[in-house]
Amino acid sequence: MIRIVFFFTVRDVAGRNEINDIFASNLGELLEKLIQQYPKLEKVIFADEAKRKLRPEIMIMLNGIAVRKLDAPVNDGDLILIMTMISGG
Amino acid sequence: MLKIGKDEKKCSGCRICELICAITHTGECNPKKSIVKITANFPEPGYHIEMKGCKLCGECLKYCPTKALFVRGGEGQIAEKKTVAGRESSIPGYGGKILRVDLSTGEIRTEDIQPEFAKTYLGGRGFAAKLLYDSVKKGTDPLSPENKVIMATGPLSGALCLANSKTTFATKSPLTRGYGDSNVGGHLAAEMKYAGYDAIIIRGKAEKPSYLFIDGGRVEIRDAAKYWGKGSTEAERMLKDDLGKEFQIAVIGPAGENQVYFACVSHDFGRQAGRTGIGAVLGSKNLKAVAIRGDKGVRLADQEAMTKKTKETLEWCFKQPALETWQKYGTPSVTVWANEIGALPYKNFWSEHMEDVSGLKDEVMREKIVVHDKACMNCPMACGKYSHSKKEGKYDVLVEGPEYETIALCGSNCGFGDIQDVAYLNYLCDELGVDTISTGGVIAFAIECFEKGIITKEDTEGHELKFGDVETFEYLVRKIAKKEGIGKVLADGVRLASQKFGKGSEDFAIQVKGLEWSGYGSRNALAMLLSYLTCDDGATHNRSWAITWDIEKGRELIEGKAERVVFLQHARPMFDMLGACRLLWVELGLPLEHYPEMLKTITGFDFTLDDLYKISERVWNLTRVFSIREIEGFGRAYDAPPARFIKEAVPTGPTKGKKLSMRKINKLLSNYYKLRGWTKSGIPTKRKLKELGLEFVITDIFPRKK
Repeated sequence: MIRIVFFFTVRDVAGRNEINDIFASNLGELLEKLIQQYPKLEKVIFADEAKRKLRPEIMIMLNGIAVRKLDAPVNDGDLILIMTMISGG
Repeated sequence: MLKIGKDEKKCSGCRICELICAITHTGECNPKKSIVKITANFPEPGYHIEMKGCKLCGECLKYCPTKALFVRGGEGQIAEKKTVAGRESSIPGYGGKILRVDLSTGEIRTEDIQPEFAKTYLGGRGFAAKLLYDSVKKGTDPLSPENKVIMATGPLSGALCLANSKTTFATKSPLTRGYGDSNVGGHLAAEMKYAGYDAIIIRGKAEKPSYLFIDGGRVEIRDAAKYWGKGSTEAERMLKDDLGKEFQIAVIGPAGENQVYFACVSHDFGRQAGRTGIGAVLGSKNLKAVAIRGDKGVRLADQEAMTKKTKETLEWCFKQPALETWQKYGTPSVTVWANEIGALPYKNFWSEHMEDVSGLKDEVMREKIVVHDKACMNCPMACGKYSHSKKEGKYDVLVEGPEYETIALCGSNCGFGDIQDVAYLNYLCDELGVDTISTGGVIAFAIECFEKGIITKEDTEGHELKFGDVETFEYLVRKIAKKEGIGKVLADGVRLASQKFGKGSEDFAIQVKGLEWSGYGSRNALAMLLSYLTCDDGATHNRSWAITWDIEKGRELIEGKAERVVFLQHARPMFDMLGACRLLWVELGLPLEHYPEMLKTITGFDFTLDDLYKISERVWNLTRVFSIREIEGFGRAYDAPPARFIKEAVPTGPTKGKKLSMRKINKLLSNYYKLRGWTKSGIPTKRKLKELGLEFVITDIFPRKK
């Protein structure tokens, strides 16, 4: 099971805190499947929808490490956090 | 004919409508000339919208960020364009005056702001730091009449510019004995500008409890006997009832009157200049409040350009997906995230993760207690969440908040997992007039001392102190506010309290430079750690919020961290000098270039971003030098974390097992000092000071050899 947790605007647009029913072999594939389930997330996650470029304010953490490469492998048991980056304070 | 609808439940009180109405129909940037009137109902939630005499042009509808004003039908009447010269001020955008008040002698005088001063220090924090440095003599006791409190507004405040009403308060801090400042949003900065003042310097001590009354050029020191002893909210309500709702109030609570070292200044029924004990200094001066009103418009360099740019920026904001999230949840949306990444303080920073944070979630808060969204002047985000705790009896309270820092320090850090409890604790702190961050840190420290037998029931009148216990928190915060019993020791902050208690308690006094640590555990986030260690006020996150840099680049990486921290320490305080809030930049991603562009339309100053960062760097070094001058031995030794973070590994959560090492801390600091042009001891070099135009401080910190 891959646990995907949403924060901030991503959570607000998806309308839920987390999901665990997506299976994928890499991050890009996972995001595509996510957008199929939650089409409104496409504009939130991608700046250039055609080229699939992540918005600069999107942060994705894979097992505690920030990743932006869509070919980053994902595996069963992984924890993925997807958020619009905040700058706090 | 246009039909305008209004929905007061949606009104956040930002008053953009007032400014655009005034500009449209009179040409003056002055909300007092507006036909639309927004009146706050606080302490009851919400706002009243009055539109008697509306000319039905529809301009305000285009600007309302919450659609509280909307079209019901028809078309707007085209408004005749007017222009008005605006108030007499030598420099566009500025109020034009510094007000000096001596509470001991009763002397009140003004002086003009000089253009060179404005260009060198900009305003807000910049003005406050320079005026404080010049006016407070070395060795001044923070709670003596000779200390000063400076209030300063920035050049963007009062103009039609989004999120622009931030007032900086600065003083020699009783908590740290060095430089201290804090800022507050709401509507105070704008009103100062309409009254004609860019800075107010308060010195001396009134003979009896007093408040400062400012109605434009009419300034009086008035009797405050009827307000003294009242809670912050109660006193603000009374002052507005007596003087009129147009007055903006800055007020201290009983904790400030009793000179609790972390007493705050409150404003607008729930906003605070919280940190470093400004409230205590005002209390030492017998000054309960500052009540201010002004009715002069702001003179602008290019009113048309300013209006156009603000409209474009607002339209940009409306397109950002994050706007709605922030309007709904505000900073409490950080809580679950901070816990998930291992940064949420838990039980006096014993850990940086809480097992079950579900009761503190922003969605739970919204559902259970939030009753109204509240904005500062001209802000579309309305991040203020006015809440009703909805518990019974004395726990049934109205409060603005809790926002993230209060949830972290009074909530999880004190062992609480119920947002309704935290709302009540927030209310207590606000009424008594104490900084929620320091209070949460102090109370958590006291509870741990009790658990370890360092203090006992003998010290607490038989009370058992427990984490997650509302009665424990209430008992301690009331004792602190009155400086009674154990509260007398705790009221000085954790650093001094731990020195008195001893028995190893110094190790878990979670502070830097005497200021209690705010809401981000940093044992596994080295840029955030460096931010905390080198912040001029002490352990606050505000100057440099770098934790996402750690996550992005590598938590334990040292390379590049100093560069990021220095950049943020220039960029973020830039807002404090401009008199603006940085949330539109940090949370919506508004480009930083917006700010020098906006500054030019308002003041005519043609600064680049790099120019503004340079001014920010100047002020950064000036506040550092203030503390070096005031505190013997100040430098590297004061840029140090609590011993707990070095001796104890995080016991639970995503950062379990992590602790700091002196090797890493020293490397971080050395890189930072080198980048800053400081010595290895953390002292700005003469060369750096000359580069920044701070030659006048050199003899203060490098005494001439005899």
